[in-house]
Amino acid sequence: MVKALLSIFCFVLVNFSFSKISQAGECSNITDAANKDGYCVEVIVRSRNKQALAGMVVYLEPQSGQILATSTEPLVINQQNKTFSPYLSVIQANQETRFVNKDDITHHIYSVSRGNKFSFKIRAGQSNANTVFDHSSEIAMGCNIHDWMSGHLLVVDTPYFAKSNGVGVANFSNVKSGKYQIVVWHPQLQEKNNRVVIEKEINNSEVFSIDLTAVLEELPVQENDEDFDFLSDY
Amino acid sequence: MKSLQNKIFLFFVLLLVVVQAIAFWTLYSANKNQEIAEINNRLTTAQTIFTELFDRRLDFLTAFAETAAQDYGLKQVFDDDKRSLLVALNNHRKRIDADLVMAISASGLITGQLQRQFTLNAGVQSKGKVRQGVERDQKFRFPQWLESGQATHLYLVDEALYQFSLSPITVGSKTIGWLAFGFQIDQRLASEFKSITDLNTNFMLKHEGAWRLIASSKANVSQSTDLQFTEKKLAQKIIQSQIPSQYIATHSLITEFDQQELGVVMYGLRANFVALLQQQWWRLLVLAALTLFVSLSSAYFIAASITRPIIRLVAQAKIVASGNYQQTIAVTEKDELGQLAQGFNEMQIAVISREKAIMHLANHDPLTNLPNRHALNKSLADLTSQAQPFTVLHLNLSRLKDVNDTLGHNVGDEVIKELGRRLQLLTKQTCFRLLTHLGADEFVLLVSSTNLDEITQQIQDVLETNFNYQGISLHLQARMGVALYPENSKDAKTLIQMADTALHQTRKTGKLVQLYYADYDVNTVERLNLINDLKQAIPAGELALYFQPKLCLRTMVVTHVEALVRWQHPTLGMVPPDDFIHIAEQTGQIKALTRWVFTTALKQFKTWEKLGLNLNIAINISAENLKEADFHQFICQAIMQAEVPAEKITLEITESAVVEDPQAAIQLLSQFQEHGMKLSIDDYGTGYSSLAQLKQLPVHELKIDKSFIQRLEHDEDDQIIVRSTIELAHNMGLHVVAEGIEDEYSLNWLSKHGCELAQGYFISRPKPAKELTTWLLDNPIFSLIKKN
Repeated sequence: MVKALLSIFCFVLVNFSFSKISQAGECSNITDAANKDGYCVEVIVRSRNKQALAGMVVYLEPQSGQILATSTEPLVINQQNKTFSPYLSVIQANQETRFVNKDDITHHIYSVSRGNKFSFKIRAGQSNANTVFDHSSEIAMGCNIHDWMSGHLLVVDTPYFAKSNGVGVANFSNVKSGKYQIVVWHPQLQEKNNRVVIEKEINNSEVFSIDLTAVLEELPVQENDEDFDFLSDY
Repeated sequence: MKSLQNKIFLFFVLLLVVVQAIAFWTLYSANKNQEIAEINNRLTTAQTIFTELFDRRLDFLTAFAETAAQDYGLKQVFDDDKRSLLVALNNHRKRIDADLVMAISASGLITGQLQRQFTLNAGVQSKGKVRQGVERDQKFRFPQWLESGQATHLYLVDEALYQFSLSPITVGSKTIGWLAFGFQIDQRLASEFKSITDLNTNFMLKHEGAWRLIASSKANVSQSTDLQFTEKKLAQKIIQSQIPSQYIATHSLITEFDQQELGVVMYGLRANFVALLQQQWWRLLVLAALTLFVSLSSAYFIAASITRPIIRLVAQAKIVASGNYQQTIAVTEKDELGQLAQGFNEMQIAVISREKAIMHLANHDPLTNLPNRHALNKSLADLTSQAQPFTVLHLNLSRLKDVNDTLGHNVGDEVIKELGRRLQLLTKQTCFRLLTHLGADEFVLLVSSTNLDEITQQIQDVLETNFNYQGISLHLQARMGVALYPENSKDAKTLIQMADTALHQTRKTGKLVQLYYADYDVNTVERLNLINDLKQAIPAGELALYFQPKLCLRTMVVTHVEALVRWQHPTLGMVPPDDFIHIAEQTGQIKALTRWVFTTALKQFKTWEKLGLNLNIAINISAENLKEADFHQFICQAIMQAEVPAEKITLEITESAVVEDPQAAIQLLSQFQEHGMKLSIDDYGTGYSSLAQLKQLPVHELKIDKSFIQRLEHDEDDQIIVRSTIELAHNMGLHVVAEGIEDEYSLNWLSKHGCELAQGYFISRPKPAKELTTWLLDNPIFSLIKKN
């Protein structure tokens, strides 16, 4: 139990830095009201115990035919210390994804998720050619060499996606008005399809607070079961 | 039979049986315990093996399921087309020869299920065909198994029960589905198990409370419903721990799925299992029986060997007891029994020698060591049976009493021994058959010759030489009574008696040798009869009193009579007093006899007194009478009662009677004298009485013995003696009576020499009272009485 809490805490700290990179600065304060391109939406994800949950994927899926821009910035998923880093990634469809092997060992990254099957080996220090996923899907990734490595990539059809920060807040800026499904997703979330969906009409900058009712399971520990890494002897 | 041998043997038997029984029982219980322990051990082992085997299979399944679930190839096709998935599943199934493989999607749907199914062809199971399972595209029935971490289960698909292991297929942390493998629990497993443990194995399934048989190691069970039924029944019993005694069995229950229960039943026939032990038992039993037989045989022989010498001893003892002492026991043993037998032999020898000694004593006289009366009787019996004439001589040593009295009995014995020795010299001659010593100084010689003169001469010859003993020279003289066989008698005993009678006769006749004559024997027989008859004589009135007159030589008148008793025996006639007085004295009848004589004489006195005959009556008193305490009193009373003057009674006492106890005699006679009675010494001159005694005796007269008087006419010596005696008596103031006067010369001679009274046949024989009365009254010579 203690170990589980510790791992959550660590993960939250790590994710906190990355979430800042994605959307920070554009909508620093909800009270800024609408900027010129749209509204600021803030979603606070909390657990059943009303505790802020970090690292939860939150995205807004347009329901009323809003035409949205596509993110062009490529997503990098590192293989570092024989883990997927980050564990959880979100991209927009057709956005480029790059797998970078930062270890001194070959990884064999694969996915058997229907429609998004891939499999490639990345030698030490190399990265693969950019991969593009053309439709929204959940892709569970593994390494065929290191069974314990686990990574998730969520492909969404909206540019409004984020992971909640250390205080459980996901910020979206320039959100066009219209009807959205606010989706909170996490592979360990014990809900149907691992997600909680709320439909909202966004016409203003708003703060949504989503309290999960289901359990969020422990994150997998991407660690070798072995006590020592015999490869380090090489 | 309660023989020692049997006792020892029985003891051994008992001991051996007890020991064997204990040993056998110990062995039996040990074996029994071992058997139980081995059965338990075996069953426990079987159970352990089963558990091990069962778990091994599960572990194997689990490990493989986990490995297969990691297979990338499988993952790639897991969500793809079914055909690819099934091929992949089958590939994996084949690798471990599993009977069931299943793929379950993340949503719990069975996306692929392959079952290997077996068909039976003539009892032999085919290799099996893989088919799609009936549960394909159905929801997995146990979603909880997917969630729980437990991988292994029992899983039932359409009658087939499997050991079952589930493993999740993951991509990273995401579970995309489950992979499951199963081994069927069927006859193959049961058979395999049986081949390991040699126990029949049945698998039972409890479904909704009822057991059914799903597999058995017995090959043909699946074909026969009857067999199925019995197997099921048996297995059910075993599960309920009601194991039939002919089986050894164990079972385990596995209850972990869906209200169903798997029962594993293992059993075997006890007989099969214990067959080996049984064989051991038989061997043990045979061995025990053999040991018992051998030890009992040994016990029998030991008992026999212990008792054999004893039995021989017993047999020997019986032989000896029957009087046969000749046989001894041959002893080889040196143990106690040998010693006993040795002792027995020694005892036997001792008995023999003692018996010899006893026999010798019985047949010989201890003094002379000559054969005794026993031997005599035997020899006589032999001789009489041979019917050859022979002579019996009964010898008696003369004057032995004198030797005993004067020189002592030792010398007497020596004399007897010497006589024996001398006579024994004779037996070396052929005609002398046997010399026996009857005791004291009596010997009997058996001589096969009948020439009496020659025999007696030979005897006289050996006795001729004087016997010198310690300086004393003794003349051996023997008197002999002779009886001849068969002249005198043919009976042995009679012969001896006759010889004895003849010997007795020598005492009377004074001869040294006397042949037996039948006349002697009459007295002897008579004498025996008299002893008895005398008792009757007085009451029967057989006694009579005779009187012999005594003539006063001075006046030639009969003034005295002597009363003499006569016995008129009913058959023998008149018995002279010499023959029965002696008997009366010896048999104690003299007391009555004397009293009868006394009273009768007193009566006669009174009778004569009435007739005017005044006669003094002399009565003979025996020496025995003097010993009677009341004799004096009786005499005095009798006289007083009869009113007879005491001076008219003369008591005649023999000289020898006085000699025996002079003091008492003198005292008693003095009393009679004081009373006024006359006393006379009878048979004077024959009794060795001394003059000193005569001086003291209070008597009035001497009665000279007839032996001095009878030949008075021709014997001058007798005249001298009689004359001197008369003088002596007169000088002492005594009267003299002479008896035995048989001629006139004696009467006159006595008269001339001053003898007072004369008695004898010349004057008158003793006569009965009446006759004498008549004689006295009629006789002209002695008719002086008339004048009185």
